[in-house]
This record gives sequence, C-alpha cells and structure tokens, in this order.
Amino acid sequence: MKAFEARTTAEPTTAEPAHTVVLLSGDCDLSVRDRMTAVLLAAVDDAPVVAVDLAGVTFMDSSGLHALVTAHHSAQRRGRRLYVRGATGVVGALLHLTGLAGVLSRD
Amino acid sequence: MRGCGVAVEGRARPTWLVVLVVAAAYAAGAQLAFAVFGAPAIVVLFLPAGVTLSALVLTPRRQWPWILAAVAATEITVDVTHGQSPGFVWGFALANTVEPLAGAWLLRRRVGTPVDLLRRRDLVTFLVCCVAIGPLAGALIGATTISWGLGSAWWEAFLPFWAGDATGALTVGGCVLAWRLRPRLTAAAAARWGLALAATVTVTAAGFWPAQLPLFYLPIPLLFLLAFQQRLPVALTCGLAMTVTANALTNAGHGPWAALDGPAEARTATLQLFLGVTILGAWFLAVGVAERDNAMQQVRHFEEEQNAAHRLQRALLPVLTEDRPGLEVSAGYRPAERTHDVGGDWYDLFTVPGDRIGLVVGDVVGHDLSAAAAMARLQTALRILAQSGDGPAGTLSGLDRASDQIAGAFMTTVGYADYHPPTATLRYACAGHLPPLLLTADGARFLWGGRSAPVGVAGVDRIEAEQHVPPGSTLIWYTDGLVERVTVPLPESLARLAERAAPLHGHDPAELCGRLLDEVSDGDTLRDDAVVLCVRFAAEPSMR
Repeated sequence: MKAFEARTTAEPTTAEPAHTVVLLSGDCDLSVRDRMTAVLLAAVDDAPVVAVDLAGVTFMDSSGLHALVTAHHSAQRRGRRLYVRGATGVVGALLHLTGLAGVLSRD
Repeated sequence: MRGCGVAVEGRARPTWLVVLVVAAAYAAGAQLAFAVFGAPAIVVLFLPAGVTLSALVLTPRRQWPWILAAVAATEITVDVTHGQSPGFVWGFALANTVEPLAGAWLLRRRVGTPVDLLRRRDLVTFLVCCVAIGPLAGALIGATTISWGLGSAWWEAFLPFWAGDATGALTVGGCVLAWRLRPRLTAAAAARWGLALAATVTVTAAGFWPAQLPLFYLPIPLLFLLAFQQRLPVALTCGLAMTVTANALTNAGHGPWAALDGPAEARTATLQLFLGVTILGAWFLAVGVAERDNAMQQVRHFEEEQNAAHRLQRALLPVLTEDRPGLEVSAGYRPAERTHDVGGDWYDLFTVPGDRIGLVVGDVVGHDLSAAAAMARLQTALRILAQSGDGPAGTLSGLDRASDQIAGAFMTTVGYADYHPPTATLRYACAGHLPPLLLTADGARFLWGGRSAPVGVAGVDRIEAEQHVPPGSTLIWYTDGLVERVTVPLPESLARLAERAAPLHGHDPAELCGRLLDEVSDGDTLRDDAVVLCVRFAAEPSMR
C-alpha cells in the first residue's frame, strides 16, 4: 500500500488560460475520501479548468471515484470543467468499467 | 485515611470542616511519628505529608491558605509539646507546608481533576510531582533546619527526611486520592476489606518480627494478589497498613532492619524504599489490570456493535426461499473481516409486470450504518420503479432521479436485469456496476453490454442490452467485495473469478454461492463486504 498524496500546481498553457493541475498519488480509498474531495473542490474553487492527474495513483475504489465525480459535478454546476488524465492500468480499467471514463474525460 | 472525608469529586466542603479534619488527621499522624516511629531521633515515617497533600489536591484553591495555616499551627503545637526548640519548630512548619503545596500545585497543573490513579499518565505525574519533587522541597528545608540546629551532616538528615515524607505522600496520599475508586461498601465487601487489612498486618508482623531470619518479603504476594483482585483503595490501604506495621516493629527493635549495622539514616531510608517499591509494584499491577479490563470492554463493545450492524445488514437482505417459475435462485452475503465495515451491498429479486423477474445487485459507497440505510431506501425505490415496466435502462433512469432524494445514494453502483422466462431473454443494465457473469456449458463469460456511469452522475444516458440465455445456464452477479483486491488489478481478478466459476457449471445455485463466497478471499483478509446472487435458468423454458 502506498500513502495517498495530493499536490496542486498551476500549469502554464497557451490553450487554457487558468489551468490548475492536481497530482494525485498513492491509494485513493475510503480512508482518504474526505481529504481527496476537499483538495479537488478547492481546486475547482480556484480555477475554471482543473486537470486531475492520476498517473501516480496505485489503487482506487468507489470512494476515490466518488470524490472525482463530486468535484466534477461541482465544476459543472458553476460552468467550470474538471477532467482526469494519466489514468492508465488499474485506474484506467476502473474508470472504463464503471462507465465514468467518458464523463470524466477532457472532451 | 481520615482525610477521605475532606472533599470528593469537586464538591467543595465547608472550610471549617476541611480545616478541622485536616488538622485532626495531621495531628494524629504527627503524634504517631513521635510515639511509634521515633521522631525524636529524626528517623521517621511521616504519614501527615500525605494528609496535607491530598487535602490540597481535593479542595478548591481558595481553601488552601486555611488548610496550610491549620497544618502549620498543628505542626508547631505538636513540636512544642514534644519540646522541640523554636528554630526547629519554624523550620518544620515551613517544610511541611511548602512540600505539599509544591506537590499539589504541580499535580493539578499537569493533570486535571479528578486525578485518576489507575491511569498511567496520572500515576506517573503523581509520583514525579507529589512523591519525588514535593518531598524533595520539604527535605531541603527540613535537612537545612536539622543540620543547622544539631550541627550534624546535612546529607544524614536529608535522605531519611525525603524518604519518610515520600512514603507518607505515597501511602496516605495514594489512599485518599484513590478513595473515589473504592468498592461499594456492602457488608460483605467491608468484611473482605477488613480481612485483607488484618491479613496484611499479620503477615507483615510475621515478616518483621524475627531479626535474624530475612522474612520481610512475606507481604509482597498478598499485596500483589489484592492489587490484582480487589479495587485499588483496598490494595493501597493494605499497603499503608504494611508500612505502618513494618515501621512500628522496626522502631521497636524487631525485624531485619533493626538488626542492621550502619547509620540509622541509611536504615530508615532503605526500609521506606523497600516498602515504597513493594506498594508501587502492586500499584503498577493494578494499573495494568485496569488497562486490560478497559481494552477488553472496548473489544466487547466493538464486537457487539459490529454484530448489530451485520445483523441489520442481513435483515435488510431478502430471503430467497422460493424458486420462481423457470428459475432456481440463491444469494449469499459475507461481511468484511477485521474492519468495522458494514455493507451497503445488496441483492434483490422480485416479479415485474409482463411475466418478468427483476434481478438486482447494488453497492452503496461507504461502509457504515448510514450506507446500510441508503441501501435499504435504494432497494425499495428500485423495486417500486421497476413496477412501471420501463425495462432496465428506464428503471435506472428513474433511480437517478430518485437518488436526489436519498442521502448517500450518489455514486451507488447497481446492476439491474429482468428475465423473461417464455423467451429465455435477459435484459440488463449496469450503472457503474461490475458485469454479470454467465455460466454456460461453453464456459464463463462476462456480459459487457448496457454499461453506464453510477447512480446520480449528471447527464448520463442509461442503456441496456439483451442476452439470450441457454437452458441450464447460470447468471452470477456480485459486488466488488467478491473480486476487489488491493494487490491484484481488477481485470485480473475478474478473469480469476471466471476461471474459478467455469468448472462449476451445472452446480446448484446455493452450492455455487457458497463456493464463491468461501473461496473469495484467496487466503487474504476480506476488506469489503461481498454479495453474490446466482440464478440458474431452467433447462426447458417454461411456456406460459
């Protein structure tokens, strides 16, 4: 098991004006759901576009998905955007399996 | 012991009563020191140290000046009646007020009231502040007074003064401060307590009588037994009885310490040290027992709560007693091990208009009683929505709308299917849920159709798929507890499930459920609840 970590950075891009990236790593399970939700909601508060980078995530269960979709809904309600990237392997399979890959994708 | 009436559990007693009791107890203890423990030779066990200390710990600060004044006055009176010179008198009065003041002030600063002497932290603080530091302050003043008055060596006065006062604080102070932990005084309890005291005095007397036979350790097992079996005040009062008996006999010339050669100061100091160490040993044992009892009580409480949660979970799941026309069904639930998690996992089976049978497996996010409550509401909502005959996709769309009104429903995964026996067709839809596994003579394969996001996700179109089920095939539907392992990627554990299930084709659904749930853990601890629903379709579709 790997400890959960979340880091929020601003990423300068030409395409997206105020683009925030949240880098998640470790295990995203029930024990970190509240922390993960808080980090993601704070990111949505701060920027119109938030990319959640899941490349470092080693494990995710329904609690982690809950946090992602909660933040996604919050962004939608305010006319903002949140999408995930770097979801490969286990996490990518989970997103496809649960039918969330489309909902949380960039487009 | 008489200090016990001073004040209990934060309720302040009248100042006059406190002062009276403290003065009486102090005078009695000081007289005892002169009469029995050889105070004139300054080789003493000084029990009043514990009287003043515990009085200060148990009373509000506004009563402190009165208590200290009463103690000083009593000390002066007792000293003067025993013919002490004025220099001694004032020095001792100062020592015997500064000492308990320092101890009580430090203890109350570090530990809130009431002090719980069965708690490790409180006991250690009591020992450091009231048994070590307080008497140290008293001994500094007392030894200076004595060495200045008698012209004797400072160290020779300091050690026994410290040891005598520390033992007084430990024994009497301990008894009074632990008094609130006493057993309920029924006649039987009082008789047992009295018997314990009598036995302690007898055994101690036996140990401290012969001078040439070292038997002083005799009270140790008795004291330890009392600490193990009885409440702390019983053990501590017996410790006090042992201390008084041993000192009285030693001072009367009995026992191994009286027969020792060497300076009297070293003898009295080592005697008090022996008695203090013995009492502390018993005390630590009592603390250990109390900690163990607390831990066991917590475990029991935890287990009861967990059992209640699992009983609730089981009660919420339907009992599938009857097979439906054209179907044999069985379902099983296995709670998570080790963790305190209660489900949110459920299965259901009911009839639907149009000669159909609805099959449900679902999983609410989270594992607590509120998840179980959300599950119960979703289960009911889904049953009612299915009666509209809208089919799986339509029913799940209805559940999306209903989920707004159900706390904790968001992101629930649900698989819903309805089976039409006359045509042997299964319509199914998965809202973020794991795919059903179809077991046929050709092997096991997952049904990957009808997939969409979990319940409550905005802007999702529900879709469904249709599958013809061959006669004799079995549908296995489950929650992620059956397959999810931290160490194994999900696609891999799904493949393992299919591998395990394939040879079980043709088995009775009840046996299948049992086998899958038994083998689910693969030797690992089951971290999540698991639910399995097994439905075997009749060999010949029933024509109705």
